[in-house]
Formats: sequence, structure tokens, C-alpha cells
Amino acid sequence: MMKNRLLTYILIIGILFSSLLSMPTNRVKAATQERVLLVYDSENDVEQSGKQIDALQRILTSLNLPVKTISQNNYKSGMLKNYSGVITMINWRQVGLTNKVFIHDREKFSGIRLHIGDNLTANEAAQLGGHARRIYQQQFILKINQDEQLLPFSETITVLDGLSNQVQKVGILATQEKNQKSYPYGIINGQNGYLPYFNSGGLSSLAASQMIAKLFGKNDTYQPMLTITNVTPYSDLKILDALSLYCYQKEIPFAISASSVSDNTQMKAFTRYTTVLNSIENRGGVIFAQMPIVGAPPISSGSELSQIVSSYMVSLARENVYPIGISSFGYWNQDEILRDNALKKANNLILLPNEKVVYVKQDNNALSTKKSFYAMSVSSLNKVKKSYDMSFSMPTALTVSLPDSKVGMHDLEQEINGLQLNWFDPVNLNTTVKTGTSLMRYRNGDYYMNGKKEDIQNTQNTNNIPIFATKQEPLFSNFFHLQGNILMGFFIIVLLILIIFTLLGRKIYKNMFKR
Amino acid sequence: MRIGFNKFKKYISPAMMAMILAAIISGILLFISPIHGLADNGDFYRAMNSNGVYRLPTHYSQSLDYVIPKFGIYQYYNENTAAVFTSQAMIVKFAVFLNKVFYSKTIFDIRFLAIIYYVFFLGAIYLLTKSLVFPYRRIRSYVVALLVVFIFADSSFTLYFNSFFAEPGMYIVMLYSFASILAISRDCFKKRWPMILLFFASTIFLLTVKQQNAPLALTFTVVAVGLMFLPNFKARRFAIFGGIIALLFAGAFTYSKINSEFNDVNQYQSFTHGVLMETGDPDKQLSKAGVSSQYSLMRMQEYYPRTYDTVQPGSKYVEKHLIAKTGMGWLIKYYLQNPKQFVRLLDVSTKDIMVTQVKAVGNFTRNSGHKPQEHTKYFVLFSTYAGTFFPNKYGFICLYVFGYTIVYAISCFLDFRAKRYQGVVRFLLVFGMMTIIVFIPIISVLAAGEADLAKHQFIVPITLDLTFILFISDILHHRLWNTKVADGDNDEK
Repeated sequence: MMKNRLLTYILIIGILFSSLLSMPTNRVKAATQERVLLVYDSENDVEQSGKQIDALQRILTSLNLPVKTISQNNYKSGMLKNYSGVITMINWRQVGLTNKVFIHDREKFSGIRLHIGDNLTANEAAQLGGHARRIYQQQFILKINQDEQLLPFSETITVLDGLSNQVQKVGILATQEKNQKSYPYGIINGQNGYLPYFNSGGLSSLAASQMIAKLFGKNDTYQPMLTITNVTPYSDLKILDALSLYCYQKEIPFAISASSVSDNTQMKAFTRYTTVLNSIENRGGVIFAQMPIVGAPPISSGSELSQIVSSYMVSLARENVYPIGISSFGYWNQDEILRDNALKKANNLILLPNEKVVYVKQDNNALSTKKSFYAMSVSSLNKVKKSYDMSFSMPTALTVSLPDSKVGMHDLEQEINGLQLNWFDPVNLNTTVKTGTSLMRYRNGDYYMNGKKEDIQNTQNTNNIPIFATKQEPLFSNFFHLQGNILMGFFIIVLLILIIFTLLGRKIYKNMFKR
Repeated sequence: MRIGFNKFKKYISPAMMAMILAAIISGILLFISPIHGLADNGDFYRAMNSNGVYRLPTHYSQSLDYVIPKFGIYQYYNENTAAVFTSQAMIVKFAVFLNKVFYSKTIFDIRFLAIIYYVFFLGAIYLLTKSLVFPYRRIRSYVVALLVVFIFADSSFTLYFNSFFAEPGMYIVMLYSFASILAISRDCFKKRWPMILLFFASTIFLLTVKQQNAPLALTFTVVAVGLMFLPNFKARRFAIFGGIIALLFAGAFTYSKINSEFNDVNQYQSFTHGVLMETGDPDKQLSKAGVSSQYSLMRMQEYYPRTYDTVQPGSKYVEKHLIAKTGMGWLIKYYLQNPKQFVRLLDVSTKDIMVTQVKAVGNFTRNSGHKPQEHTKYFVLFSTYAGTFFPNKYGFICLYVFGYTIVYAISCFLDFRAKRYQGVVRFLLVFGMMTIIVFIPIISVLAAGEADLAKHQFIVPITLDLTFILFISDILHHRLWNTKVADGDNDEK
């Protein structure tokens, strides 16, 4: 009996011990496979919630969290099992969550839970360790670290009261009255988090991202990268050149998001463009290849896209311009065709806010990559009282659009100069772009093509062979061309004879009366 | 033999024969199942949605490959407004009405559209043949009638009837416009006013059926001026003058209805498919003309990119820096500075001018056992022949026009001196047609470069065919220069 009991004890201890031993490894595994499910109530078009969803997806991607997004209608029982975190996003508080299965699964869920927006349930509030309170008709000031911003007027907002000291608070919402009341913005209690609202721009997005990063255990801070967007071969190249020179002289490191063409690359106009891009590289700028706009491609257009991207890279590299990554609208990461045939070619991305969204095959299955920059416009920080060491919780690209006039250029210089920020230097990036048979790498400020270091100062513009463009001709067209010429010659002769005869005939006719 | 022919011609006029033959030939093509037609190239929605017709849902794609014979009819309020202004809407609405009365209130059969075209088309063939051969019933008249069937009942034209394209309406009214004037010049009917009315009605329809037809108002004004030479009294002259004003107004109205997006599309395409084509690197030419030469990289781009493109042509930036700068005035100036390129563009535009068969879409229905996008070989001999052997140079067209005008000017001159109107009316008709042949290629190159040539120049092959048959008929009946019919020659009395 005793022996048996002893054996059982040893067994139990053994099991406990081994489980203790294996726990850290399990954690490591969980960290690499961390996947987040984002469930929203509805895509409230009135409030442009699509924009907020896009921003949240991009933040998560920048935090290296692969995210799957679904509408609550598409949630099926048990789906949550495959995820380590769940985010509930309420865009339309009049509707809120209606999927009982999801609410039930979320209650039972043991991973990280984040609630964004209104309609916090009593249960959720309890898990966060406080009770919900509604505040009406207020204009708050959002404060975080040393930065602050006056927010637009809000009709109603739900904050949490009576929080214990263990609860972490990120940012403060302060009223403007004399005896300022203040409420926490982001709240983290263990695995549970809450954000009363989310906004894609301004300090709100930074505060939100900081909170999300903390909740998911990411504590790194980053400096923002100045990024010039809307650079195309059709841009005013003089302004682009002047802007890059300005940044160079002011010692501001920067990146540009530049689109290219896949055809007509033998033309002079292309060389003019690449010459400017090359000088940007020589002024400490780096180039992210901006992905093309999407027309109305069929699902089968993946290989065409892949070819276009390869052709961008190859034709640019031929003229000594080496893109170090890819930039695209955020929704490209939510689309199977666009992601697989373009974004996956690079391990450094800039994800820009969506403009015109045209999906080829939407799957909402965002992937995270080595480094992806969350893009937000510099102007969205205009209303923020900034401190020099404004911190960002994820790789962030602060974007300025390339101006198309000298006045715009002057304004932009003022704006950049006014931003006293500690800019990120892309020299610290370590990137690869792999297309077709070519492998481009960038490390420590050097460019490598298929392993060979390239000298970017040595401009190697390929000589341009102007190509005569004409409509494609069908088979035998030469024969009919010849036949056409013969017929035409024949026609000319007949016409000449006809005219001569007419004149002669008229003469004869007249002579008949002359007698 | 002779007695037999005399009996035949007593009962069946050349016009009647042409009509019967055309009815049989195109009737088989259009109505006997499995039917033939043209598949959707993506433009059908323009004529469908605003007129209460929609695509029935299918698991396969309904465009390009096969002709779709059945559509749905909207049962409730239709919120779609017409994308473009067109008089074609009348026909589609009428077809839907007939369909509801005779067939179904929920399913639309494309053949109801075809039958409307068919009836009007047969009338046009009758009138055309009659006006060509009147007042003769010789063997040669019957030869002309056969030629009319051979040329104008060609499947490349009649296939359009089973489709939502606007072209069939254009084709038929063009035949009416031409034939009515010819009928007047030959006194086919005792009373002239029905033909005059027919001419104005069909021409106004022609001018309003497609926006690109707006410039034709000028052409038909020239033709209508011929009516002024008829022995007139004041009131009728005034009415004809009113008709001419109506034509100009219809043209201007159609032109004004071209919306700005349509304009942008054409302007962009005329730049990328015109200015940048048929030349080496257009770098220098562009900067000389005051447009950033970076835009040369847009060569052959579409306004609505099919798959992927560098920038959105409809974006504000392109709008401001390219489209706003390259208006019609700029284009004309550019081509004046680069005449060689313009001539090459014209040559390209006339290269396939006689190819009337639509190559991009299929002619058969899905269950007919034919391959997708397969074309019918039924009664297409003329269009195939003309499409292949017509000389592909713009210079040839100019020569043709020059010679043709001279030939008819002579008879006009003779008749004018003899105070007869027949030759004068005919000459102005011919002259109007010649302006179409010369100017439409120029206009289409200016309007859209090398893009959509077949669509923009659809009227040119019809016009060429009409002038061709007129010439043959006049030669055969010996009245090229002598429009007077000897008393004994009139077979219709």
C-alpha cells in the first residue's frame, strides 16, 4: 500500500516537474504562433469604420501579430480555440454584439481579450476590475507621456471607475472644466484590456497602439521614419530632387514610397526618374517600391501581378536603384492574391492607410512579416503637443505627400522643420527583396544584388533604345499591305486617265460647237 | 426564257426580291434555334439596366464567350438611370413591352429586340433596293438587288440584332437616311413628303443613338441642303429649313450630353493610344508641346486599367497635370507639329476599316456545341472579302473620295445647268457620305487614338458600302452622268 502511495506521489511530482519544465518552451511556441482574431459588430459606413478597422489591422501587423478579421455574423462556435487573443471592436453602438455564440465563447476564452468601443458588458467590466460609467457631452484632452491632444467633442463615452491599483492605465482622458476630472484611457488588467474608442490618426492611435503593445507583451519603443509618399514617375522630379536635397542638408534620414512602371522602361522619361531615385539613395534615402493601383483584375491575375512586381525591381535595379522593401495600402495584406504575389516578396513593408479598396480575393487573413511600418500622415499629428522623444510602440512611418508646386514644397519644408522629432535612420534596416531569380539585400547602408555589393554612386544608366510603338498586326498583314499598295497605284493610274479623258472629252465637245 | 422573266418581274420587283432574300437569310440566323448574335463585351449594362433588364444569375461568366438569349425583367422600381443618353432606349423599352405582351413578364428573350430591328431592317432593304434601281426592272436591276442582299444582309451586320449594342439601330437608320434621299432624287413615290419626313426622323435618330455621331449633324445638313433644290413652294422650303435646324440641334444636344467622365476617358486614351503611338520615344515632342515628358511612360495605358497600373488615370493629379492640359485644341496643335505621326495614325485607323465582324465576342449560344468566342461563317463572304482586300491606307480613302466626288460632281453640274434637281440632290447626298469617309477616321484618331477604332468608325464601312452599291447600280443602269429616264425605259408605269 505504502509503496503504491509513494509511487503515486513520485508520479505526480514527476508530472508536475516535467510540466513546469516544459512550460517555458510552450510559452515560446505560443509567442511565435500568436494569432489574433478581430471581431467587429458591423462595418458602419456612416462612421467610416472601415478606416478604423484598416488602421487597427495595420497596427497589429506592425506589432508582429498576425490577425484574422471577421464580422460577428461570420463567427462560428469554437473558432476562438485557434487564437491566442481576441479583439472585439464595436463600431455601431446602437447595434453592438448580437452573436450569442461569440459572446459565450469569449466569456470562456482564456487568452488575451481586448474590447474597443462602446457596449462594454457588466461581465467584461468586472473582469477588468471596475464598473462602467457613461459620460455624455464632453470634450476631453488625451494625455500620454508628455504629449497631449485636444480631442473632438464626443457625445457619449464609457469609462471605468473604481479600478484597483493593480490595473495598468495607459493615457489619461481629462475634462476641460476647472476642477479637472480625469479618467484612464487604456486599461489593462492581466489578460483583459479595454479602449473606450479607437481612432486611426493623431495621438489616439499612438496611445491605442501603446496600450495594445503592452497588452500583448511588446515593450519595445521605436522612432518614426520620415516617409515621402505619392512619388510616381509622373511626379514633378525637380521638386522630388529638391526635397531629398533639403532632407540631406538638414540631416534628416528618410524613405520614399515610389511607384514605377513595368512597361516602357526603355524610354528617356524612365531614366530621368531613376536618376533622381538614385541620387536619393546617395543622399541617405531608401526606396520602398509602391505597389500598383488595382483596376478590376480576375482572381487568375496573380502571376501577372507577380511579374509586374518583378519587373519593377529588375528595371529599377538595372538603373542602379534598389528598393529595400514594398509599400502598399493596408488592404493588400487582407487579400490572398495581392499578399501572396507582391507583399511576400519583401520582408520590410510600409502599410499605408487605404484609399480606394479593390479586392481581388479578400481573405482578411493578415500576415505579419519581419518589419512592417504603420503609416500615418504627419498632418494627423498637427494638433498634438509633441515632445522631442515622442515614443512609438511599433515601427511607424510618418508620411508626407510629395507636393506638386513650389508653394507646397515651401510649406512642406516648414512642416518638416517644425517637427522636432528624433527620426529613425533606415541605415539600421536589414532587408531582403526576393523576386523571380533576383535577390536584393540591404544592410548597414549597403546594397547587395544576388550577393554582390553594388556601387550606387556609379550611375549606370543603360542606353535608351527608343521603341517604335504600333498596333499589333495580324498574320499576312505584309501581304495585304503590298496588295493595298498595288491597288492604290492602280487606282491612281485609273484616276489620272479618267481626268485626262474628261478634259479631252470636254475639249472635243467644245470643239464640236466651235465650227 | 424571256417570257418567264417578264412574268417574274411583273409579280416580284427587285426590291421585293431583295427583301424576301434578306428576310430568309437573316431570319435563319437570328430566330431559328440555336440563335446567333453577339456576346456581351461588358457594355450591355448601359442599355440593359436603365431599361429594366438585368442579367439572370449564372454560375458561369456571361461575357465574351457566348450569346445569352434570356434575361430578367425588373419587377419593382428600377433605380438605375441611363449611363449615357441614347435613343436606343426607345427600342429596348419597346422590345421589353412586346416581350411582356407576348411572352413573359419576368423573363426577357433577346429575340424580341431582334425582331424589331429585323422588321425595320427589311423595310430598309426594300427601300434601298427600290431607290437604287427605280424605275427599272431589268436583269441588271435584279443583279443590283442580289448585290444589296450580298452586302447589306451580311451576318457581320445582322448579328448585332441579337445584342444590346447600339450599332444595329445606327446601321438601319443609316440605310433609311441614305435610301430616302435617293428615293426623292429618283421620284420613286408620287408624294415626296413621306420620304422627307423619313429622312429627318431617321437622321435625328442616328444623331442621338450614339454620342460619337454628334459630328454627323454637319454631314447630314449638307445632304439636307439638297432638298432645297426640289421644286418647292415657300411653306415646304420653310419646313425643310426647320428640319435642318432640328438636325443641328439634335447633334448639339447629343454632344452636350457627353458627360465629363466620358470626355476624360476619351481624352486620356487619345493621349496614350494616339499621341504616344506610331513614334519612337515621344520625349522631345511632348516637352515641346508643354506637357511633362514623364507622361510618355503612359503609352498604351487604359483609362480603366484592366488589372494593375502605376497610377489611377482618374486621379486628381493626372486630371490636373495631364488631362486638363491635353484638350482638343492641344491635340490639334500637337498633330500639326507632328504631321507624319498623324498620317501614320490615320493609316492604322483605316487599316481594318472594312472589318465589320466583331472579333472580340462569340456568336453562338452556350448549348449550341460551339467553342467559346467562336464566330459564325454563315453569310459573311462579303465582309470577309472586303475586310481582307480593301486597301489599308488613308491615302487610298482620300483618292476614292476624290474620284468619286468628281464623277458625281459632273452629273450635278450637268443637271444644274439643265435645271434638273435629280443629279444635284444625289451629288449632295454623295458629298455628305464622302465627308463621313474622310473625316470620321480623323475625328476618331483625335478622339481616342488607336483605341476602339472599330467602334468609333462603324459608320465608315456602311457608308463605303452604300456609295459602292450606288456606283455599281448607276453604272449598270447607265445613269451616272445622265439622270434623265427615257420615256420608254420606265418599267414601273
